[in-house]
Amino acid sequence: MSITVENLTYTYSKGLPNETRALEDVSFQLEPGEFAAVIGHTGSGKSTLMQQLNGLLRPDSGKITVGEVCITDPSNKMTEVRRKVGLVFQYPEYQLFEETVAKDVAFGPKQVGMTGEELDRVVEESIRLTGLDYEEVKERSPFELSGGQKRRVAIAGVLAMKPEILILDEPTAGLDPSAHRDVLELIRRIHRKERMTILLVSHNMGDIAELADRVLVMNRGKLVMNGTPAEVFSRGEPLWEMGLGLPPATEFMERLKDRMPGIDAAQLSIEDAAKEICRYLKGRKK
Amino acid sequence: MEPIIRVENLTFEYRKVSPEGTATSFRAVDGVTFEVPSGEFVAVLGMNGSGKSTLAKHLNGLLLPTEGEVWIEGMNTREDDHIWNIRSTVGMVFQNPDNQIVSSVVEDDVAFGPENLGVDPAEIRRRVDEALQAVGMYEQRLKAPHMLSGGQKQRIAIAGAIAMRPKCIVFDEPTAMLDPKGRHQVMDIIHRLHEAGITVILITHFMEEAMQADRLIVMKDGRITDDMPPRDFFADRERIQCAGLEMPTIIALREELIRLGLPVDASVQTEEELIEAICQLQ
Repeated sequence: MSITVENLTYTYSKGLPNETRALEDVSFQLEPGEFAAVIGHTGSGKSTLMQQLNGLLRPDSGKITVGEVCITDPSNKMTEVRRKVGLVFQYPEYQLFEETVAKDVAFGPKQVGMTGEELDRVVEESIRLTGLDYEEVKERSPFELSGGQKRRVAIAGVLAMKPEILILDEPTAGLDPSAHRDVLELIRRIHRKERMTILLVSHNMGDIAELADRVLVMNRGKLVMNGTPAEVFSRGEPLWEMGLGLPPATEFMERLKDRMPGIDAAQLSIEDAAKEICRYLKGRKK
Repeated sequence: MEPIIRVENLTFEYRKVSPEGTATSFRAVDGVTFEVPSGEFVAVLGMNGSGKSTLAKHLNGLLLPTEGEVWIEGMNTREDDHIWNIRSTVGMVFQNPDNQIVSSVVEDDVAFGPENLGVDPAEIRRRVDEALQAVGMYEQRLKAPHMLSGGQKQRIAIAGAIAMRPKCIVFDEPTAMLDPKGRHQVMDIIHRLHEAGITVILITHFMEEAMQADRLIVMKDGRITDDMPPRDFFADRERIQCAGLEMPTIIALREELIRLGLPVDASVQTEEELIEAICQLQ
């Protein structure tokens, strides 16, 4: 499902002394099945944007169209929008509350009237999709699980709503390296298998370089860059000025470039960086 | 000299009673022994659930051992008489700044700790100003914490710890929720505190941060599996994998270059060293 955002503007505390312009004339379009990442420093407007896409906030002006439906049109029902756009909040495991994993995952679909075998099937599918062993975890309390497992249960709860667009806000923050890997793998799998349109908000430039087709950069409420990871991460200087960074491999290559002018620093992964270093050194020997 | 932290055979069990009434226990820390000399910078790595945070909470008496002992400057954390001394010796900074900020004005929040210790008001003023300057937040002293960014709030939480004039600060994943700039600033502050002589215990999931410490403690299943300089640990691929950790970028890149046949020395660990090594191949 596609997303079209046109001239979106939003102000917090309108008319009050602490009035803050959170979004200013933001426009972009995502094709169905596209994987986009949103980066920006704290307070740049990313979270406000995410909440607009899910209908939790309504813009002062501008338009959001999800598929064929204009979600900013007040005559459209928000329940439908929220079914289509699944939002995984930061630290979603804090929102787990049920006695068992299966009940927790079933909570959302039950609210929209799903019952019986269909419900059981959706719950099982969603849990399996996150890479958890369904038989092993379904009757357990979500609170007994490890941090990484809890987070996957919380994501399963959103997947069970069968969204067509998935928005993830910092899904790997606070996880250890192996749980981090698991969650990245899970996101990749959802994207491939379910062909969902994914919007990932993250401070982890390495994750973004690995997963995203497109990077949107927010700064002071404005969308200031919109391009492929290679394009966006070739602009280290402005990113640093915005308090952002580069993927670790790119950052290293930028430093190396100071000593080896002519090397192509726009490498997103360790493997590509190593190849470029080899290529450059061979060229020098001739 | 008495080490600032002495942990002897520390075991901690979480007890849980099920709705049916049966009690089970889970050993989060299992027979851990180590000492930290004053002024050291120690990083603690390990997977989620390896016992790092449980261990940290023993270092200022937030938790008391099920078995074993913890001494802070020779004071046993089990002795009630020492608890305030221990808490003003070892400060804590946690992952989520929102859980640590209590006041609606920045400088009030920083003053909260010393006020509770009954410090003289003039002295509190001095400490608060100094602490806010140390974290670069003096200009924001009259603001409301909820108007600040995550990185700024974390700096306020650190200022709150500094205002207690602790000899040691335990940081439990202080940068996990921060953007790249916020992470940098917090790590800079940690380095400056260490240079000023404060003992630093840094729990983290970021390998790059752990590499900056003098010493690395790795935990797995409640036990210490490695205790050595980070250089030695990160030189050993098997150890890294065994602990469920990841290679820092520089080391992963070094390994990849070696795999591609470049004669890069396997002892190279820092960015500067790797750049130097590559330049010499020209």
